[in-house]
Amino acid sequence: MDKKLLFEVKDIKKYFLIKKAKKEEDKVYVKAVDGLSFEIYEGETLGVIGESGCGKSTLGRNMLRLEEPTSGSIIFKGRDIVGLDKRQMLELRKEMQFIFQDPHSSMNPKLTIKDIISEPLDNFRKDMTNEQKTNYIIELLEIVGLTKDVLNRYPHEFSGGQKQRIVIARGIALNPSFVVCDESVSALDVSVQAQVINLLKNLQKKFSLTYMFISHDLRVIKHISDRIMVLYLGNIMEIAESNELFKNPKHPYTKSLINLVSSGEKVKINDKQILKGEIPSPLQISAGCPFNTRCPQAQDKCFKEKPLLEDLNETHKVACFFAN
Amino acid sequence: MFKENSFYDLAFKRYKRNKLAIIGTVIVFLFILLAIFADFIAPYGYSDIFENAQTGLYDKYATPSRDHILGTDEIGRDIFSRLIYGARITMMVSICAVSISTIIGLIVGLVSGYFGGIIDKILMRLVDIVISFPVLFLLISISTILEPSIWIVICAIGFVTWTSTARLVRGEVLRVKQLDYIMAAKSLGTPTFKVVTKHVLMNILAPIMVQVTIATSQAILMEASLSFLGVGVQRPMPSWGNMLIDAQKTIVIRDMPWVWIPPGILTLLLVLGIYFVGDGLRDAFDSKQ
Repeated sequence: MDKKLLFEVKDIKKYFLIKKAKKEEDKVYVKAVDGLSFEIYEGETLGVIGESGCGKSTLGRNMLRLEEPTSGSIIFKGRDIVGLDKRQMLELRKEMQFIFQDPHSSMNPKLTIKDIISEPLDNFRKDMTNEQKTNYIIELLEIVGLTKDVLNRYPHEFSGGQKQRIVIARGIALNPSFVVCDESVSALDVSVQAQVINLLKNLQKKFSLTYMFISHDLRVIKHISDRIMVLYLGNIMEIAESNELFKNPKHPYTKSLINLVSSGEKVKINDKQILKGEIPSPLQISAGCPFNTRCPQAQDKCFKEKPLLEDLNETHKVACFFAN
Repeated sequence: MFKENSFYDLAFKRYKRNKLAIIGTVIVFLFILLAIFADFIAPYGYSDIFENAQTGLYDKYATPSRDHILGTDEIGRDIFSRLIYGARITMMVSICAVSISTIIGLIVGLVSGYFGGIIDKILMRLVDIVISFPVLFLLISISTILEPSIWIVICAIGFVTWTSTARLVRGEVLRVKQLDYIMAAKSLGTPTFKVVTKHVLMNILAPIMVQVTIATSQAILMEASLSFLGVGVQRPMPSWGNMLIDAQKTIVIRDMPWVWIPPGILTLLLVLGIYFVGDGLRDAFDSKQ
């Protein structure tokens, strides 16, 4: 299959200034995203997995420039979007959408469902009459499995799963090519999770969408992703095709994550105790490999040098000195 | 009245169940009617209590009688009529002053809270400066320099009281702007101006409405105290505050309660009624109850 590049992210960094100081060397930063480079191909789903605090949500927001990255470039369809000004970015908004973790808080509680879904249309489809908009909104609602009698109701009248369907309907209203799903099913019941994931998959086929699916739940990621990127403290540990990653994990961090899921325990990796030790504070990241404090195979070299993300083969990359 | 099950619809239902709030609403409503229809209710016309009285046609400090239900004041003007016209002045002053303070407070709070950074710092220091102004001295000096008028009172109250609204709005904006639906609106391509005027403003309206009621009662009290001190609404124009000026004399306080008790009670009733409305609104908007 010939894959077309949609996103090319080069060395993207997002640092948060924690302590202000006059001298540059006295300033304290949290390196939420510390130099990530990866690609996203058209029509695929890139799963991003990591513990809470590893920078996966920050990455998602930076990808759409909902936050400004500190440095690096994000090339979308051959155009670097980091340098774009507000107006140019506004134009690009219709191509990329964001679906939040909590569907309830991502809808304005004072608006009706019709107004909520109509917002992107009001912004970009000035050519549509109100009647056309309403018909189109009903069509969207039917696509996500709701009926038109929800139009004049308010977000608080719906269940979590229904709300997420409404948010998805809003997200696809402009026919975007790229959607970031930030923990989009984490707030939902497990039974509802499956429904929403299947809905997302169907939409992907129907509208040839590309997803970046962010989650801390490896089972969800496994179910939906074509390729998976493993993040740890703002760094990529491993990136590979989904099957390959589960069959043949190379990084010790990935291995421990996968062991957890395959041992049948229904533990999410947010529960810290499943890995040896705790995730270090992002303020006190030591030199060398970010995972060195918890890695069972850590050796002297891992404390001195930071391993680069290296190709094992065409699709499998890993950042570990001892991957082979 | 509101769309079914909307935020305001649910709040209105809760409001209707609150007895004190209903009492407050009735009181405020009656006072508004009084102010609007003063010409029909007052037994003596505006010109009577304004001009003719000064010719000394009436008795000074007459006790309440059939002619003067609440007696007359120091130059023989009918107190009942002056009270009713006073309601009009008092309400006009407070409503105008609160409009000014709400508009300023809203703009300052929105800009300060939403944009943050250096703009926020400058505006909040401005708030500090205004708060530390000695209002009374300011007003007394202004009314000595300028011809005192009702508009000066309105502007003075308005330009002094916007600070609490500004702080409240700023706090609410800070709370709302980090919610997901604001970021969602941005990612849907909604321009900043619309994000602020639509999503942010829409969701901070409830506490602002509560603040407006509180500010109104404060403005009434402020007007009353300024007028009482002689720097507010100037006689012969009647306001409840300047009707109390007479109460500065011992003889009036001791022997002529009809002169000072009615304006005092009316002020108290109106302020209390507005507070009840404010409390009711606050409870109604709080959906957790």
